Amino acid sequence: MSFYFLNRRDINIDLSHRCGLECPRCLRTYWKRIDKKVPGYDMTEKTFKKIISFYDYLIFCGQYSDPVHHPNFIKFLELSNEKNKQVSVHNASSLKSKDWYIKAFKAYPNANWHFGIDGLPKDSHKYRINQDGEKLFDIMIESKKYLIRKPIWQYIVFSYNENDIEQAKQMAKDNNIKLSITLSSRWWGNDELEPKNEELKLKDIPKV
Amino acid sequence: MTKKLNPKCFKNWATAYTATGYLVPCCYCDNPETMNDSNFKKLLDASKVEESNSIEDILLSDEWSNFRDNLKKDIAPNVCFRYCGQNKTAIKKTIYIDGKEQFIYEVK
Repeated sequence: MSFYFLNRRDINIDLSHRCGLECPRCLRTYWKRIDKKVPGYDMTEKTFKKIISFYDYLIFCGQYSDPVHHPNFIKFLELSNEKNKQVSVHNASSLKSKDWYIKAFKAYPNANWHFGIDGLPKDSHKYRINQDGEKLFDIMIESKKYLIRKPIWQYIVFSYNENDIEQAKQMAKDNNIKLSITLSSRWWGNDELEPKNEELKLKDIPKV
Repeated sequence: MTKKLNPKCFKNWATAYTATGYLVPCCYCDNPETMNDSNFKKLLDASKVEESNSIEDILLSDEWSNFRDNLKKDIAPNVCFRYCGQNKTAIKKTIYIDGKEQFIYEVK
């Protein structure tokens, strides 16, 4: 019997198989390529309660899904709030309405929201296929009325947005939001999304 | 060359719950190659959350214990070497900016 893994009280939760986006580097594209449905199903409330009875920090960051598309996500936020759990939400899909978001923010005002808008809002759909970046940016600004913590604008650097970083910094400052600029190593050979500036990309991790 | 591991799951890296209902050591495991790996499937057999009484039951199972013991001996799925191999470079670097404050976080 091992107590080794019991110390970790953070959990990354993929709530379902649902997402409205078609980002080219997402694992969802693997299933699309082989013409199969993305595997998975909606987490039940019973399972969620089992998880929050053990874990203290819940990171709603899907491998396959966007948490906002789980049909009971607002209920799960309410339960997290009741149990005083730490929560981070990672959202990039912009398909939910503004009214829905306001309910979600009110359900747990102390949650830490990260909005994946890669580039200037007018351009983010170039990677985040189907995303309305301008709508999601407005929702991120709106969130400040309801959330205790400043929202975080997550900006992954790609070739199409590598020259817009200074403008994004200014927009974050003007709107009093946090900005996280992420340099990725997830590049393929002759990758048109890969930044041209060597300082803005990481070398690919070694294959084994 | 001997492949050595420096597992993030031995530190504070988050455990993960997959869209298919399994508890796994971390989110990097949740990919088709690893989830279909015959050895990793032994871990999955004990990791379906809806079929378990509690998270503790999963983490204290023999399957998780064996997985831990194997990691210590550098026996693991390919994905572990890819993301937790010793002496590798950063896989992600994030610069957080909040007004005038800035700090850099690297995942290695």
